Amino acid sequence: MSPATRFLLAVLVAVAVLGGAPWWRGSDVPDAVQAARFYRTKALFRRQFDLVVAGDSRVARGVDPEAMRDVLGPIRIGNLGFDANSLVEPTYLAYLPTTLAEDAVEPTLVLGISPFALTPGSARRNGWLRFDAEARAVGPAAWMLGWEGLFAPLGLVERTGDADLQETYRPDGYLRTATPAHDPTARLARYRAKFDDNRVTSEATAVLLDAVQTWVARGIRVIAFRTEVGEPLRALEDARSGFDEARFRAAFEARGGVWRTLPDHGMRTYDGEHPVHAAAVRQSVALAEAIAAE
Amino acid sequence: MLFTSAVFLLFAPLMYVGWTLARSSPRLRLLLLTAGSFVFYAWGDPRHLPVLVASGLVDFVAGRWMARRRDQASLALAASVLTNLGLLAAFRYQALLQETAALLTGHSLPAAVDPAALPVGISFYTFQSMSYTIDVYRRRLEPTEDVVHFFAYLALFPQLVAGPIVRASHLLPQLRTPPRVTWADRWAGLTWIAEGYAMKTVVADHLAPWVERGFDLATVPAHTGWAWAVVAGFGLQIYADFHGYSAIAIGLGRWFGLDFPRNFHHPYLATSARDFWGRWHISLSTWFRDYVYIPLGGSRRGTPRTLANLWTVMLVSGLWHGPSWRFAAWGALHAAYVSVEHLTRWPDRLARVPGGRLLSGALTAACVTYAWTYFRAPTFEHAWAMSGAMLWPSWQPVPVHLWPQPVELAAAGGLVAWELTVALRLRHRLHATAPQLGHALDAVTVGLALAAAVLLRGPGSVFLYFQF
Repeated sequence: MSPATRFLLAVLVAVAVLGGAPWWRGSDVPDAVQAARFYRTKALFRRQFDLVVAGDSRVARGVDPEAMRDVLGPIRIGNLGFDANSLVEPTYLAYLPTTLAEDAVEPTLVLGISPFALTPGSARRNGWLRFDAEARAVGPAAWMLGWEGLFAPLGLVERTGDADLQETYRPDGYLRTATPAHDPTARLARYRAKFDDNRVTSEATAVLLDAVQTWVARGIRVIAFRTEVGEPLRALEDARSGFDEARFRAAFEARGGVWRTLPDHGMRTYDGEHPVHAAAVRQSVALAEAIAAE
Repeated sequence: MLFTSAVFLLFAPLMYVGWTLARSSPRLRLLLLTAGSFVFYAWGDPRHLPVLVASGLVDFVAGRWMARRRDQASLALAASVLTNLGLLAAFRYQALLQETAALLTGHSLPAAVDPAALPVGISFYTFQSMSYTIDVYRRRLEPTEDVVHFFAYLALFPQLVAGPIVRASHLLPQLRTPPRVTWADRWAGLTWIAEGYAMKTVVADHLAPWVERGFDLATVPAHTGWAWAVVAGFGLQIYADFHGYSAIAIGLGRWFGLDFPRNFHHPYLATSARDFWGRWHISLSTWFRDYVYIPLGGSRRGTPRTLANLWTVMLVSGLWHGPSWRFAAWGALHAAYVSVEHLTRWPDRLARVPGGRLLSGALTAACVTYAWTYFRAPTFEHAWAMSGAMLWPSWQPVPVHLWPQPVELAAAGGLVAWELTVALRLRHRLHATAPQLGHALDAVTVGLALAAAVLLRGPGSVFLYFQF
């Protein structure tokens, strides 16, 4: 077989495999697959942002990088919020700095603090662990999910769910939410149970504070703010979570972090915890202005 | 510009088409290659280009100076070497000065040069440039009179930022009159490129998270098996990463009718540390051999002098990789390995025993793996902790998430399996018994490797050797 024939055969094999990939998996992408792809891809970001916002679902649904860019200019911003997430889980904390670009002029990690994310229970079971494991296990297969997956880390189409809750997955990790529903007490019962035998402890927060110190020593700017929620839930968290904001803030600043208190906008949520898109934009702009003022 | 970036996938075919169309005009080819290489280098951060151009101009002028005034050749060589080493010192080794000051005094020094301004690949092109002036000084090479010809050599885009380090005596004549590219060249180029991309995107990029998890910890778990797994993961990652880059460079060179020397030759199949250095980053180790080790006297002046020369070369080689005493420690470990081999000849003795070559190969791999600890750890403290866990049997529990994940094990296993096919000479045996089937299998393997480089790519990291 001549070199030219071998060359042609190799190219044909490559083209056949690449061309056939989308057909092997089928063309339609169900909503559940879209959601899984969204979160798995968020677990696969690598060295691509100037600024990363980390936290739980309040960050995922409440911090819009596009709105922040209106204030901060055309920098690369990623939203790494996961549902029911933890800020005291070591692998998540190890993951965060790896998402910052090597050529970032001022690499910045922004932590959206919620009391539950600082509890030992959140470290044991959270959205990050699930999707991180899935991303590692099915990472290669994830690339087979469609043509767009072949060439870009994330190429999601808009998903519209049922009439009560419409979610749009954005490549920067933001989960835009729209719904006509509004029940500021919907999450209260769940949160009452969440803090039973699972309060914020100094041992748990020490994991985060040690990481903050390490990041700052590596030249990363670390900023934290408390995520906004509806007033009833805020009161419940202050009463039951064991989270002492002033004490945490002092410890955080002692490790080199910068704390920012956002102005109270009277957050409009659909369930007492998660903001609708307009409220997320307001919170994002306020956060960006606080960062710009730093 | 990264080989794995989308813009490179546009740039490379454009360069290839331009190179092919300019076949009838060698001058136009050199201009195209030089201009294209400058664009490649300046892409993303043009601040680095003036350093490359200034460094090259000094060496080009030094070469011309030596040709016209042989009596002043030493002066010209000194100007060239001092300029290149001065650039390296200014941009790279202030960090070593800072680290040393911090170790001795506990106080850190302010940076004189912004570390972010470090020109990509400066260690590679300064060494390549110095080989030109040294060879001209030794009268082993006629200096070129054409500055475009010189920069086509120095800035040649496939191997500019991460090697292989190609000698001027090897490449300048090829650039003057490149041979006609045949289908054999195109096929050979494609096999190198497919292997390189698969090594980088499928193997190295999947191993990167495993290694990062292990070396990003504030406290290293005292578990011997885990520590060896993490460091071995890095040993495989850096091989796949750096060999991948070199292979792509060699393949691109073949498509342009240029022959670059092989940079890796299955280093983990080495049966001694000396053998390892004949297989790992060959273009650098031969550079140090020819321009440092042999001028120092090599092995011709007795054992003490030979060992001193070995240690000098290994320590300098370590520091070439990075401005930290950790890299010097890595070099010192390899110097110790080679010294013990030189004094005891244990690999040769072991090879005479049945199964001895296998055993010496395993021992060599273990020694090389252990040394990687100092190369990869972020600090000395981390390296010592990892080293302690490796050397003193301890089995403290390690969280499940810190162990390698299935896909990472699959990437490592794939690389090991590939190396085993080489060790067992499976491909050679197939070609000897059924050449047509062997050729067909080669073509299918290359096609699958190209597809895998797209479909099975890992989370990714930059090429590790870019930082050198």
